[in-house]
Amino acid sequence: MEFWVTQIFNGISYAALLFLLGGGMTLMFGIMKIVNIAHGAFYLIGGYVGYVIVRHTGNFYLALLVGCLVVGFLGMVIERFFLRDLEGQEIRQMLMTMGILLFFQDLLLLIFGGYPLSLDPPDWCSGSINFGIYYFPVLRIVMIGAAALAYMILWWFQAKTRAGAIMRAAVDNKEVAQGLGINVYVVTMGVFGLGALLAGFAGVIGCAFTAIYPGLEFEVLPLSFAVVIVGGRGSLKGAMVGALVIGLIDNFGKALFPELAYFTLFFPMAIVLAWRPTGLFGREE
Amino acid sequence: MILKGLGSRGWLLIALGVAILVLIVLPPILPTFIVILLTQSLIYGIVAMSLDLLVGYTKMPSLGHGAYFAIGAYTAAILATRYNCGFGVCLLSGVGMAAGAAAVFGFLALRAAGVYFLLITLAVAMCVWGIIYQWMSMTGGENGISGINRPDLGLPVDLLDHVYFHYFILAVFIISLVLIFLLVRSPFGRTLVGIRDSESRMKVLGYNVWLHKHLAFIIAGAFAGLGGVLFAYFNRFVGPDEADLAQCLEFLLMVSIGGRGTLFGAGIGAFLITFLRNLVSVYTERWLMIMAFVYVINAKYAPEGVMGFAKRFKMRVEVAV
Amino acid sequence: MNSIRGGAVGHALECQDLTKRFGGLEAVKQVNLQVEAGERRAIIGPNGAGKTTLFSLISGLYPVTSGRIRTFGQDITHLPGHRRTYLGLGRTFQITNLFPTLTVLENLVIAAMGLKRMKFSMLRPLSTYRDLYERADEVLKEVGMAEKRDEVVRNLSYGEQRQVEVSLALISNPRVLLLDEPTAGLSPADTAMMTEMIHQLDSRITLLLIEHNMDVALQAASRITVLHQGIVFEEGNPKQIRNSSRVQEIYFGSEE
Repeated sequence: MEFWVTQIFNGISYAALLFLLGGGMTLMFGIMKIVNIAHGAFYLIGGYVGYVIVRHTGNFYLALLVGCLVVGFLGMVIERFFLRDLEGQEIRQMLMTMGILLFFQDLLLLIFGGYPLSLDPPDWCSGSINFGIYYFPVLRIVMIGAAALAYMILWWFQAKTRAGAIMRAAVDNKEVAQGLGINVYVVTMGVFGLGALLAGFAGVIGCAFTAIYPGLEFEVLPLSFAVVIVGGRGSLKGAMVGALVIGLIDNFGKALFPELAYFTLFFPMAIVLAWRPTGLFGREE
Repeated sequence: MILKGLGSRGWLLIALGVAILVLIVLPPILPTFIVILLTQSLIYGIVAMSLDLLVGYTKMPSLGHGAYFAIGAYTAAILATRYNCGFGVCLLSGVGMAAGAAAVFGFLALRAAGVYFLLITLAVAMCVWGIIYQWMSMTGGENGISGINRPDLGLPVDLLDHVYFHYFILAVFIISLVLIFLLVRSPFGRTLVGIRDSESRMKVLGYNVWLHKHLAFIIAGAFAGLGGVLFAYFNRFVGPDEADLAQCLEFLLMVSIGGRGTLFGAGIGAFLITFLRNLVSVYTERWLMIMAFVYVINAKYAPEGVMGFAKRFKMRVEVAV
Repeated sequence: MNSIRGGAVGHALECQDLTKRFGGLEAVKQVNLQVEAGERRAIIGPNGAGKTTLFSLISGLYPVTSGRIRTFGQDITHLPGHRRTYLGLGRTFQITNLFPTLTVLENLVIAAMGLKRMKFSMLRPLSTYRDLYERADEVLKEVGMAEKRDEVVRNLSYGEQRQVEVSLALISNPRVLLLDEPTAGLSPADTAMMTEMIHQLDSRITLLLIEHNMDVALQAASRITVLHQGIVFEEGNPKQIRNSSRVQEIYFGSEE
């Protein structure tokens, strides 16, 4: 029993991280039909920015804020100047995002060196909460909380605000949205920035939770891809479900069959792809 | 005046002839380092050309081509080191496994098109990478498989010598080039171009488009596997890097920078990228950033690659003359 | 290959209660159609009536939601598109659908190859299959485009492209030919040429014609089916349709 509870908890906290990473990518995929390889860089940049802020101010919350904003802004710039013209051309998009990823990988390597860095979260985040025989690390709880909060804010934004409705319209059918007077370009840039922001947010938390180092951006990519594939294009709910599915399966897989670790990550992907190529919540194209 | 009547086909064949001549005549007098790079370029050239079949000729954006390269490489490596199989067995098995994998994954990938196809091929490549990484007993995991000996072909020369091995690879490359070239000009090859230009039109003309795409996918996978087998013997070591995302993208870059859909472009791209990657790192630590620039500039400003540039240059020359 | 039904061979083309739904929208509703061999049938109707959707259902590009399609008695409802071509179905597209980077000749050669087994040949160059090229040249001469044979299709005028569009469909000797708005966007001169080409078609071919140009439709067809909002609104010979006030209403009526 203890095993199951712990594993489920770990799976959910892992899913939280996956949601932040994959959710951002899902949004980008939804608005631009682009598979953003550079997404890993957003995660990494967020982590490093967070590290610098905490180093200089000791303020974790500031680190979160600045990390989000810097990466979000970067996302918008990249969409506007590097990706906008490549709409619909998958090969060029792939090459472009790869180039951006490599650029940041090397830049960050140059600035921060190759050693893993981590930042210290605020004191109340360390330690664990006790429920009888169960120990739940506070930081994991914070991660779950952060992801849940992000999901709720995004859901509210999409479902209840005018801007959110505009965004949904643009994702659904760009041409019609444009015909209705929606400035699709602003929406695209905004969504891209939002997706990047989520990744940056995840990066700061990741830096506190484990560490960041060059090369990590490649490691987080498969995870993000998995969420997008399982969840489907542009669907926030899909990203959450995808993150939970992947997080739980992968966690249980690692615990029960450690030799098959990556297989348990990609196996649900293969199943979903075989059953519904556009993802669980994606629309039929 | 002869120049004008030559046509682009003529120019290409002359250039190709010169290139092959250079690759035969020069190696004995070039530094070993360069010969090794040439050999590596030829191997990657085979893989790049096979990817061009998909990306350039059929418009199937395959992001997972490295998977078949790796399957070929690992099959040959395992058979050669653990079971002491001869070259012939390793070659056929490597190509066979890669083609088989392409057949199976093709079923999965071809359930979608465009960016979803891309996503599925990407997922497949990561599955393969993950399996390679985790299946330690079979693949050696992170440590890969080392100690692969050069093939024993019963020739009077020692294939450990870089120049002789280079000639061996060159021979296989030329055979592959001829085969793929014939394929591209054959009826089947032209149907791929038709599919690229208009799938719906092909369907109403009586073509089973799915079947053609699947066959193209398998053939491309087979040649990628061939490249993998050759790589195993060349490098004498294979590791999970052979299947990772960066490798898959580098193959794509080779095709793109040479010029999609031109076949020769893929070969040129393979040489360019291999040399760039290895020579730049001699002069600066920032070779990764330089690669990044190559990716970005190719994607944004020069998507038609070297062959596209050459075509436009030739048109300008013809107008002037 | 014809199946015998109740003693008769079966209509050249038959649609039975054909319905196509896209999500919430019913583009084609319970359409019943019977076209006899050699007939010239025009399908007309205002925009959005479902005409091109109907063609896409018949040619197999869309799966049907319900209903049946038969050609010469054979049920093709669930056959993939390319198999229907084997049974003699040919089609042109409303939006010109050619191979833009290839020459006119190459377009036709690929079309000529569509039903042949040698399309899977992988080692012999295509250029050695002279019979394909001869057939292509033959069709080009028939439609009067022989001089344009080596032009890249992208560079042709719109009218010339429409002509190539029709020749692609003709080259496989279809038994049932679906022409989707062949005169769309053509100048009066080109329209006359296209009309003439349609007129010259082999009388054994069964022709279904979607046309927006009423004159062309009424002239070319022996029988007319009017579609409106996905259903068969009216059917009759040209004279009846020309004089029908109901038909006039859906085109010019107050509800528009």
